[in-house]
Amino acid sequence: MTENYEYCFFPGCLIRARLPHIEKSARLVLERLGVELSELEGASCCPNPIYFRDLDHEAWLTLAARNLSLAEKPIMTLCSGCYSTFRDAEHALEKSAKLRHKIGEHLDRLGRKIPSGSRVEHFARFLFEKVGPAMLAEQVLRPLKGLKVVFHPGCHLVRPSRIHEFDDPDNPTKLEELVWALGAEVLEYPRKMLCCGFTVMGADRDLSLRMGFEKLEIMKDSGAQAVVLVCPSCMVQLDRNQRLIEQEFDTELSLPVFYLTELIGLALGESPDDLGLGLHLVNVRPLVEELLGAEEGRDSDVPRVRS
Amino acid sequence: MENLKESLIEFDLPKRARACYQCGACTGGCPVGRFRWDFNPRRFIEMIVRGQLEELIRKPTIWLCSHCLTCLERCPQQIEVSEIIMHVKNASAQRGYAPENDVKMADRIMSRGWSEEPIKRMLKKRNNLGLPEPAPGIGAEELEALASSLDWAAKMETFKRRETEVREADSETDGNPAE
Repeated sequence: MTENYEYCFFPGCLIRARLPHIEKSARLVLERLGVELSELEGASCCPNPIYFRDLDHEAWLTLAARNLSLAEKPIMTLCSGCYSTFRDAEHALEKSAKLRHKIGEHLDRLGRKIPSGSRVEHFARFLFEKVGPAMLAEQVLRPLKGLKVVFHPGCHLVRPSRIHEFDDPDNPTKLEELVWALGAEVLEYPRKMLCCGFTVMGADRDLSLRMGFEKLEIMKDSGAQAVVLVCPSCMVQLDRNQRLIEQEFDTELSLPVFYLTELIGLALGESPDDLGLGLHLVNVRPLVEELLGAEEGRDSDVPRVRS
Repeated sequence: MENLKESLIEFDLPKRARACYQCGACTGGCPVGRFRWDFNPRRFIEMIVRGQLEELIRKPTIWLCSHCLTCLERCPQQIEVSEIIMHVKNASAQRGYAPENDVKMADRIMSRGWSEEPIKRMLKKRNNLGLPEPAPGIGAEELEALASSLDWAAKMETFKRRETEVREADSETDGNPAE
């Protein structure tokens, strides 16, 4: 890699509090790809683009603008929810002079100012647009040959498409190219953009689990060995809640779920333990061992994943 | 009722919804509507256009929106359905109809800065992975200044006010599947 990139790191509440393996793999991979991350001090929750924004748009916009005002460099987020909040907030403030005035007054009382221009990047979008599949493929030391996955894009990285202007809001494929670049195969499946249901958990748990089950069942039926995704909310719903869903619907899914940075990390030669893969709730060990075994010879010393 | 109208008019909701010709593309693609017939974005938009705002904000089902934005992407009239539902929820929250979990999360964020914080066991796991300590977040002093500027204590009072009436309204105001 010849380019150097500098960003302020914004992990978001869920990764910070519950999913350290995502943060670990992202830090490892981004560093390997020439990204320098600095810590962002004094931040708060982005805040949550659904629960919080649904209650009070003005407070949501104020906290978002405040977070944006803290960063001396562009913000890199690992979470599609934080990305959604920041992009939507930038858009709302740019569009409406009235809102700018109102939110500006709140920030004034804190001695802060609304920043101008776009200040936020989603790690996956960065990987596609700034690194790119070809450059990524050159870095691969351990191709993920034989691995069949489905990609779960989640809602908020591509939608609203008129704000994000990143990929087709009904059938996004750009991030799948990154997975192909690792040597894995990305399978087609119906209704790729179907929501995982995580965001309904607060209002109706049964409905949320039902939505999660529908999504997992469709992905499992495609014949994939694993799911790849780029949002911690989807990760919680599809990995951490998978056992709950199995119990609720009396079924067995056992479908491993990877964060995109974890798969990239494996392909770049990082060890499963360094990546924290043992922290997944759906066991990824058999699949990872099969993968690494196929690459390095089944009888050799295969790095094992602690569970 | 006047207050409600004002709060919805502030964001031009009736105007933004007016172009709807009730095709139902929003509802057809809705992942929540698949399982809950009483979650019907087409109907919500119709209620806004017809000025049935009071009835709409009392519908507990509006809170089931997963905010997947499918409706917003698919509307042939470019109506931002999910955005409109969000503003309706704001008005609904001002009357105390928001789900308890949402209110609790918002209060955690405004009082501590985060929707959740790592527990001790998780900090140990972070440490085992060689991750740095989480960077220090917003301080108590600035949170207080924020809360005061936003008049947050008064807002919380309103959000918590009428939790019980929501359940009663549920059975009365939800229409039937044929609507």
